[in-house]
Amino acid sequence: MKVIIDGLPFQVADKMSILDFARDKGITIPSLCHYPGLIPFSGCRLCLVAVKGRKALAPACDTFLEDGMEVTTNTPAIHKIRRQILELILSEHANPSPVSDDRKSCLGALSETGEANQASGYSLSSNNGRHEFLKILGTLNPDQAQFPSLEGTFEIHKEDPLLDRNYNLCVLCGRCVRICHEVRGVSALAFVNRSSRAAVGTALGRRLLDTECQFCGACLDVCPTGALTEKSLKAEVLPDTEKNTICSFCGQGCTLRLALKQGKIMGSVPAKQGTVNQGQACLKGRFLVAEAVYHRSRVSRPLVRKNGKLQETTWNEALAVIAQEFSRCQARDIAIAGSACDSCEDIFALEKFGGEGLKTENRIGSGDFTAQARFREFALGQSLEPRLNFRLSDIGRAKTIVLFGENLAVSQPIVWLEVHRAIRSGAKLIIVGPQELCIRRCASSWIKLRPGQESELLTGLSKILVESGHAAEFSRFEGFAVFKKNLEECVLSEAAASAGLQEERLLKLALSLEKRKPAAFLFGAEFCEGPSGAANLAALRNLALQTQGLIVPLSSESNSRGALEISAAFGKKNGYPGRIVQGISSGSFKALYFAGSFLRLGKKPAEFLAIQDSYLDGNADYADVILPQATFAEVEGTFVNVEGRLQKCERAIEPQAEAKPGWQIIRQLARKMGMSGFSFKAASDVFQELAGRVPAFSGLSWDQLTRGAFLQEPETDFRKFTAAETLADLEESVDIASGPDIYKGLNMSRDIKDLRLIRGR
Amino acid sequence: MKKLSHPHHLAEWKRIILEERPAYDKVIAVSSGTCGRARGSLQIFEAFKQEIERRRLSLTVGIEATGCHGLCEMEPNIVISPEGFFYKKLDVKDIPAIVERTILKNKVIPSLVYEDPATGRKHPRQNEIPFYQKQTRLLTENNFRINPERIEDYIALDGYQALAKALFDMTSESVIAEVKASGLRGRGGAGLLTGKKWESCREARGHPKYIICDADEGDPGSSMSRGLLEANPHSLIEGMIIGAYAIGASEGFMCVGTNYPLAVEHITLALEQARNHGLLGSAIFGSEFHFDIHVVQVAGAFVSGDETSLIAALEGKKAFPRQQPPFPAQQGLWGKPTDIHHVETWANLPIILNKGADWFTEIGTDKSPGTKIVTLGGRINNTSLAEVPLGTRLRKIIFDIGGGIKDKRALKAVQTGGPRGGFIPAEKMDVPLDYETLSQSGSILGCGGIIVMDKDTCMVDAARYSLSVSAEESCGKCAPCRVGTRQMLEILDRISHGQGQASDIVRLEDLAAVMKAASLCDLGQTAPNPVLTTLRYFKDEYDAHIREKRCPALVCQSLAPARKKAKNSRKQETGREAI
Repeated sequence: MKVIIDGLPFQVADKMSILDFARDKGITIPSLCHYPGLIPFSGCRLCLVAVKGRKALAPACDTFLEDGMEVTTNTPAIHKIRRQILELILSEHANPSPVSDDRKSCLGALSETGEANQASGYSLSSNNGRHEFLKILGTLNPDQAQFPSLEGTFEIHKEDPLLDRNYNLCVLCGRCVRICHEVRGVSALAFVNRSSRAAVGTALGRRLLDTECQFCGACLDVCPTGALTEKSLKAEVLPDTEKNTICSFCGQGCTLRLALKQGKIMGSVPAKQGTVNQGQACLKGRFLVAEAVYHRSRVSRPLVRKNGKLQETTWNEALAVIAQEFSRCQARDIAIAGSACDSCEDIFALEKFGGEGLKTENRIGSGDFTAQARFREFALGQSLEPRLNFRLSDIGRAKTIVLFGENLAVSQPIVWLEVHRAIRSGAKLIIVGPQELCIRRCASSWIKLRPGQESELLTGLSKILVESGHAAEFSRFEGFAVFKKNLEECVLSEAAASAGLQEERLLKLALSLEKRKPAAFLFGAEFCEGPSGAANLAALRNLALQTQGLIVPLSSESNSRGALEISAAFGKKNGYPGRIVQGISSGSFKALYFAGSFLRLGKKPAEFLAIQDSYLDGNADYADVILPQATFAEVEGTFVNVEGRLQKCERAIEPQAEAKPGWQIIRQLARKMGMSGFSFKAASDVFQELAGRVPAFSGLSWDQLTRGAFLQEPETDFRKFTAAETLADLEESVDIASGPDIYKGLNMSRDIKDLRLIRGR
Repeated sequence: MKKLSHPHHLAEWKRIILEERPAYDKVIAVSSGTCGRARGSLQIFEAFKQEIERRRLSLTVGIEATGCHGLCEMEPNIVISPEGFFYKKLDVKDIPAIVERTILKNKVIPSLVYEDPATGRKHPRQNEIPFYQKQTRLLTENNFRINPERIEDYIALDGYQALAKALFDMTSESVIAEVKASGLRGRGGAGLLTGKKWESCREARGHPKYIICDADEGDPGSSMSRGLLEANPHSLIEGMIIGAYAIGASEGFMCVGTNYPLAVEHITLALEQARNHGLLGSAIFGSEFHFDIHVVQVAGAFVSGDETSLIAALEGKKAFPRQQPPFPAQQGLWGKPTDIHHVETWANLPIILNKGADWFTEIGTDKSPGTKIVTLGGRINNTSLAEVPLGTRLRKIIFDIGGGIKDKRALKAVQTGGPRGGFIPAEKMDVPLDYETLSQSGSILGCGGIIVMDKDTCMVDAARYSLSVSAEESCGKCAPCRVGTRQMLEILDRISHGQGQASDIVRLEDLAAVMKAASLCDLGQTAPNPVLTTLRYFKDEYDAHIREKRCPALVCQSLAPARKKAKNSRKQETGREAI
């Protein structure tokens, strides 16, 4: 369609608001309440434009272009109205009255953040002091003396962790309310009251801790004024540099923008251009990066146990001790435990060190116990190519989402955003599991079955679908006959009863699955553990085949998938990883090397234990040597997120004290032991070798990773039904330290006060 | 009569009702709307009942508690049929005398008879009272003939015949055509053509379609909706069902404010009765048309006068209006095509279908046919609920129907359309009550609130009071309205405290211009009306306040001379205590 804006003709392809289109074309229209991705609000009225043929001015944010539309975005009259509106807003804003000299003008207060925050609570917003409000003040140049001040007298909310709220500075643009509701699906904030008392607030004026607030900080990031502020930045000055990093606190791989001052991290915000997160993050990435990096339990220097006590020492000595101990042992007496929080390079170096240097088969990693690992094992057992890649947007497009037990809002907040997006566009969320999750209010059903009985429910659903004749198109798939025959054993009433449902309800559920395709099935490690794990996966896969379902095994560590692929490339391990864990706890090995500490030790596990980690935790009591490892903000490296997306993390700051990246530590150790093949000088060298040896990484090159890339996988999925009798038992569950809030040796929900408060609600 | 599964059953039912109706010699209708009850009408009702029973007259004298008869000033009042005797301001102790003399002996008790404040003449019969005589009561005429708790009373007065006609003799299109031809305009204030709204809703894509009856009254001191809801609930239910048939809607919502418990009670009961008799719900009159109505109690916000705001409230969200277009007819409740009309609009529809568009257009003006229910309040003798043809001159409403100004003072101004309406000065009383002319005079018709002010009224203070309502009721969503009303109020406060500056007048005009041009909804766009009209017609009062620091009406206390203070300490009567 054709439109005319300010006398110039334009072609418009899609349905677009005047504001979005004009901004796209470089035409400036001021606005306070509009924010990309949010439903137009048309509250601030600053974006009013004239549309030919309409009596009244129209808000550009909420007026959509139509063929032949003629729009005038700026005339002296429009400019005057905008300026007057801004003058009105300013009069209500806690801007100092122009008559009194003792306080600075609003402009001054906003720009001179350092000074102003002492007086009025102004401080840095997420835009590092560059408030949008300030920019608009600049363009419209209002006369602040036009109206007397009606400054609010709202109490400043300082009672919550992480952020303060001062609604005297609020302009009621509603961005925080809307992002909380529309994007995050939380709705902790709302408009309260009306007229002069109109404000943003919580239900019954409770503190955020007593609401559903997840402390994601999205409200903070969209606030155009300084009404919402980050507690830890209160007294800070402006940063001198900003650098991107990939967050390692969970498996989603959010791009964070770190604000740095003289090489130290001040704070972090989710990068708007972040491939995975697109401007969103969770409370850990948003608020706790600096706290984690500078945490008091960081290991800063190598430690060696002398006379029963850990004492600081040099790298040289610490490595020499390890080399000496390892050299004395035979390969089968050594076990190595890796961490899936480390970069691909770290993991590769460790695998190579263990597998080719020490030639031990006793290698495990925290990545061996994830849902992805179990699903891969299951698939391989069925001679299927395991497919683990997916895209978050696939979840957003699903019409039915079945979630097994995981509390996504906590463990996978960005995945949850996609689920919420799907729900907003009409998808149904079905939660299966015994626990009541906070996201339940977004779900259309909650099936409270006991863990381990999922397969009966899923098989029941399959049976209904097959019997209702919907399965016709799937009957060509391999194994259908056996599958169908096996279904005869399933008694619907029993299947329903095992899930605590009426048979009728099960029927409805199946029909809904059939009607709302595609489906997405999300599950964590619990779903595939234990005696029923294999049966669960088989039943799930069979059902997914019929519902065009996307199978999404979730993993919680930042590089679980990378660890899985790399360790697989180094060959099958000696028995199941669980047996190695048992071996470690029963003291069958003489020397151990832990990168990270996912195995919780209760006693000294071997004659010699070396730990390479960023934080000291309980395992340090039994360690003979501890090597300080750099955290993600301090290293350059690659990580594979839960989707299977390989992302490169740039180094933002220098490692703390004497900490080193994992691959460097291993390189030094290998050299110390006289091994060859550890000559890489940079992370890129490690990656290059890795890409040549690990099939999933083949063809990927370090220099082309700026936007990230997906791991290699077979394009097609084998369309084959799984029969129960072909199932091999999956491994027993293993007691390991994992969870959404564990990063290396740091248990964030225990060791960081604010998170402890929030999680402990 | 159980379920009506055929339209013929309706006539049959009516016949039975009339046959079975007790043959009373006299029927006493006690006006018992919320206003009457507040003045003790239920005690009057009880007293009559006891007296009738005591004298064993139950077989010959009937007594009914009906909705409001309109003359609120004279509550509690009664009408005795068939003579139509009207007794005002009754007390329980008057009852035995009424029964003794009027009921049994047909004699009038002079002390209880209405006296015309203008002429001093006494009018014993209701239809002789100018207040009733000069009205055109289309919607309210049956108020004293109907017990709102009985569907039979409505059926006896040809109720639901329009619906039967629509369902069986007309297509949806012809219903819309008839309503379009009637020229009926929305009585909620905007004055859009009802038929046009229906048509665009019918044509809108989307399923299901919804109907909403806006029965949440926000204007202080007005009770147009309440009068109908309490007195004749079936008339609007019938109207809504006709509308649903025309549009193709399957569900309707009656949004009643929580401040109208009696209305909720009557409506809920009426819906239940209609459902039980097959007039609502599935297969209405045995046809294939299904439609049901839910009562939703909304926590009455003034801003919910905006359609989109009411929809938001219905959806369980904060009652914020949103930008239009898209109009509710395209995207309304839960994004589906929705038709919203005011109570009074719905109540007009059975009449239009029964009597025809031609008959209807005879009433009112060419552009605005039909009647309008108005609430008369302020310094007027007959504080009341009245119904007049659109186009009736204000003078007739104020003096003939309203009985003139209290205490025989001189009229100063009239505010129409609630707190967002403008003030029309005494010399312009020939202005007809219709959408366009009022708007040219700087005011609005709104829902029909009319507040009368006498010479003792300070117009700056009156404007200030109106603004304070708008400021208090501004939802806070858009800046021009939220802050604009506050700033205007600040300035008016200043002026009335003698701290006004010459520049304040320009500032008020500037503010008004921004608010009108930039506010999101009608509230902000019309909120400046009281200020603009007082500036237009009563500029001298502003000048007196600002330049001479003097309040000519001696109302603004900080400007009043000391000796006058005591006299004027009473609050201005600007609708706050109207009803």
